[in-house]
Amino acid sequence: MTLRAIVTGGGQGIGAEIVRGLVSAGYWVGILDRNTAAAESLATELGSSEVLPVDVSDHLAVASAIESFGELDLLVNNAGIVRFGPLLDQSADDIASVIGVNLIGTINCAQSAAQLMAAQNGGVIINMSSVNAVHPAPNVGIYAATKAAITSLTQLQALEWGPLGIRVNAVAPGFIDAGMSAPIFLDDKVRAKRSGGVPLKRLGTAEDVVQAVLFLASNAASYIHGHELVVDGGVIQSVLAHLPRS
Amino acid sequence: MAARLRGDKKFLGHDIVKGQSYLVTGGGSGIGEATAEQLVALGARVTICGRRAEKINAVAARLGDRCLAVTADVTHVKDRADVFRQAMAHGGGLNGLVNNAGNMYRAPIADFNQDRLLDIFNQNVISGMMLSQLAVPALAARQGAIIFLGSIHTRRAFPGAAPYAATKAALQTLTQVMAAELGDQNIRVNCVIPGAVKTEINERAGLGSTEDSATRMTALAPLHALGRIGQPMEVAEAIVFLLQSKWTTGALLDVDGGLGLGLTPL
Ligand SMILES: NC(=O)c1ccc[n+]([C@@H]2O[C@H](COP(=O)([O-])OP(=O)(O)OC[C@H]3O[C@@H](n4cnc5c(N)ncnc54)[C@H](O)[C@@H]3O)[C@@H](O)[C@H]2O)c1
Repeated sequence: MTLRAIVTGGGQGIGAEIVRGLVSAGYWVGILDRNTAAAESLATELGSSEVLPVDVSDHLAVASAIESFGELDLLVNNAGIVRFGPLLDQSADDIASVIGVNLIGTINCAQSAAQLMAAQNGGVIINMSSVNAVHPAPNVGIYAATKAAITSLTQLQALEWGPLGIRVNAVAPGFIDAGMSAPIFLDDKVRAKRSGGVPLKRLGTAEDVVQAVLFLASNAASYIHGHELVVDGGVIQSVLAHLPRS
Repeated sequence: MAARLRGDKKFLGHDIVKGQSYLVTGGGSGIGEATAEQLVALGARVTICGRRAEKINAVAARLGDRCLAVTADVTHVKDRADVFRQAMAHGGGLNGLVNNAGNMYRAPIADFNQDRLLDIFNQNVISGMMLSQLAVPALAARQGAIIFLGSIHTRRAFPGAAPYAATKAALQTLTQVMAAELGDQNIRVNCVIPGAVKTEINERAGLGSTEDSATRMTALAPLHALGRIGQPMEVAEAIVFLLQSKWTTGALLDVDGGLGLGLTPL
């Protein structure tokens, strides 16, 4: 039987690599993304997938897209945005947008997915958090607070949805040389400084995150529930981690 | 609708373990035995050690040639050197050290006994620190990994279990400092934090008969968000993940069915 997954923000960045990993592990994947063009071209390239052209912050659109996807074994709540800059300079729009995608979007998708899964005897949900949820770095705006909220949400979902047969965990990536932070690392100086602050002395790859997601999705993780798995080369263990971006 | 399969057991990293060499202390029963079994099943060479020769020999006999049993007490300097040397010879090097050997000492504060406290810290903490020290050069040569076993006792307070809880908290902190310190030698250090898993440790602690200990464990089931206690193999799978995961270090991985969340059934 083919397993069925939805990856939000699956059109590009880390999400696209998660889609790739799931397709090669034999899943049929719904690529849920508001960037329809990116999602379409990935689906065409990979096959075994379909596009759900939705904005995660739109409650009704999410509900109908996920419901019509039908049987669902796995939701990867990956869509996320960041507006870098000092907290003092964050505009009302920055704040509302980041909360709308990262927090409300995560809740929207998880609720719809959990309803389907509960009716189908269970499933797995993986929420994408960040090391910023554990130790916020300067100049990430409201992003860190939304990620900390995802940590708490993951725990609550585990408590309430565990009895429905839904296993819920989070993955907290560190400095990843892909997706939203790739532009930061184009600067060689920043790159050297920040990778030097990681105990394993390198930036992470999207593949490092994919591996953690595939593990938590699999039955090998059947007793892991309500956990936030940090995948960061040890950066949050090191005081050297709190280095400025520039 | 029929229950659907939730993910294939195989994840990417399973292939990486093949042909590699691991040392699992306390491999004669429980989580250590399950870890050795899973590593051997995935094609690794594994050395297990323990104090009771008949126990570990039986495990090695069951797992076949790729598993070597060495009778050793990891609190003894000479035994540690011996088991490390044999693991290196059996596996042709070392990719991972699983510091799994441990014991339970429970006592209310009024009954603390200094000798027993020193002994439990020696068994649970210092033996793993010293064995890690021995293994670091070999692990550095292979971009290897060290695993410690923490406990749910650091997430929830169990009155009467302070000595055991304190040793496990020490291991969790040790994990984080060692991860930061050994990163530039490309050695990863991680810790799994199991919830209620039925093994011999509780029986050996004198918590009553096998049935008593089973009853106590079963009573914990409703406190888990998943509504059940765990199997040793479920913890072993998490250990295997951490052994091969290339960018996870300093992580404290809860494998507890949601027990650490603090669910109070109404
Ligand atoms: N890159 C890193 O270093 C890093 C570190 C920690 C955590 N993360 C997290 O990983 C996740 C993926 O990030 P990324 O780096 O791949 O970012 P990215 O910007 O490359 O990709 C995000 C994807 O989400 C989609 N998306 C954004 N808003 C959406 C919305 N409202 N509705 C539907 N789709 C939407 C985008 O179109 C894009 O395809 C995010 O949750 C992010 O917070 C990334």
